[in-house]
Amino acid sequence: MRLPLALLMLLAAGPAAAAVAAPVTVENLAREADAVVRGKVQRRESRWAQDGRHIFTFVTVRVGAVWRGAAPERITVRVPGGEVGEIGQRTDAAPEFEDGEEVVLFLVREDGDTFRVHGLALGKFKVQKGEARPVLGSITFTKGLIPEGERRVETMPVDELEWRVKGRP
Amino acid sequence: MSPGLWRAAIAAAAVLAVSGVAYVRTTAGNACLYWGTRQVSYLVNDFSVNGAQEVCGPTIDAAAVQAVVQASFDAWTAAVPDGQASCTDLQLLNAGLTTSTHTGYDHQNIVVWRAGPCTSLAPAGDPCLASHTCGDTYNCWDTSAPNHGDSKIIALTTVTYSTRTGQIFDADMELNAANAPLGTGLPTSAGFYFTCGPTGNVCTTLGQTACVYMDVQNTVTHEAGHFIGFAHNPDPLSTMYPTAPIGDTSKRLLAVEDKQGVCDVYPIGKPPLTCGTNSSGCGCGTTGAEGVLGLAAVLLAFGRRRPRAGTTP
Repeated sequence: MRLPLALLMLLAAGPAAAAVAAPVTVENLAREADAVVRGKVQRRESRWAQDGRHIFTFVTVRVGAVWRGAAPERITVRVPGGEVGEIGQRTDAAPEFEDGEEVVLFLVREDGDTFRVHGLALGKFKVQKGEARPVLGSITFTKGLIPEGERRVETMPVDELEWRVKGRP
Repeated sequence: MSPGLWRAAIAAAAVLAVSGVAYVRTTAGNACLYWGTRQVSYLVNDFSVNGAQEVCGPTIDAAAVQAVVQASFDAWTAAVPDGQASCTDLQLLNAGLTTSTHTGYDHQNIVVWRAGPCTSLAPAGDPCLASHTCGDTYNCWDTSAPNHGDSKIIALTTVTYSTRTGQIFDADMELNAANAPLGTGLPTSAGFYFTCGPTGNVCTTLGQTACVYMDVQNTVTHEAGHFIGFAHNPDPLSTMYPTAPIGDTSKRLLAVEDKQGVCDVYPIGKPPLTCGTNSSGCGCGTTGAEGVLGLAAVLLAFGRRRPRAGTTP
């Protein structure tokens, strides 16, 4: 299925990078996530990890709706990479955020109100004009079959994304 | 660096070389990423010590795998555009095997096969499981860590760079290797079977030889492109094309635009081709904005990847 992948590439807006992933569906992500929420990014802060070698960015998201699982009104999402002073670090395939961005996130709880995005960039959709769009420019997909009736992580109407997240056991 | 800047940068980062061949560079704001030195060393993790059991067959031979990794990096440094003389003096130097499994900003560039999921390899109760720092300590794929995400990710490269100039300081490659025993079938959730075999039949069981599954040279050659500052290329013929079917070996050899890219960015006897700095606001690859979009649009009509002549021995 190269055509949809090519379409994803055209739509992908993030910088290219270096992760390789097997095919994954929205339904699969939803089953594995602790929570799926729709919300808006409020702020971001990058800092060094305790090991002194890795940078993480902490993204505060105001949750507008919980589609699956449980999440508080305000959550922190930890993502790899970021910039601290004159040093930047990119862990490829990591989701990127911007202030004020409306998003749907597939989340795995780390501790308390802190989550990570499940499947790195696969688990983040940008919502704009009724459309939910993953930003997958940094992920290389292998070729493979997906379960019948499920839909690959790709651009779709936000209503369909919600239906697929809520409608799956 | 805001994602908006990243996006703007990538849109402007497709560079049409003098020859008209397009390649795409990774960018940070206005700056393209590049190595400031022409001699970049990398170490290959000795997985015979650190645990990955099923890389290139049932017999552990780290030196043989190291040679395949070197061939992957060498594809870039030996780039010679068709009909031209050698054009780059970039050297990616194999510094040998290491027992280190550390990634991140430590001025040590490594290629490391993670030996299995951290939930299996780290002792229960180890504080690293809660802090998601087991990966380097136990050489494992931390499925709960944000930089690994989940077991569907096959390989990751982390690049550390100057936010002002884009100069790369450090780059590391992690590959999510299988740790399941022989004869259990190919893994779907506990890593991937990396093979060094010839082209041809796709492996059907873990540890099988004389077949190809997740080809090491195919994967590392692609990743090495990122390692030196190149981004995905929408041309299906490019080594940097972001699709790699199981059994794919076509990326072992560079396409013409890949060769042109390394020759342009790291030309013999000349400084690296930079795009400006974030303090100066200089534009990056200003000739290429239409190039990348045009190529992607053409790609929509492709449907299938055309075979690249001479890519499979």
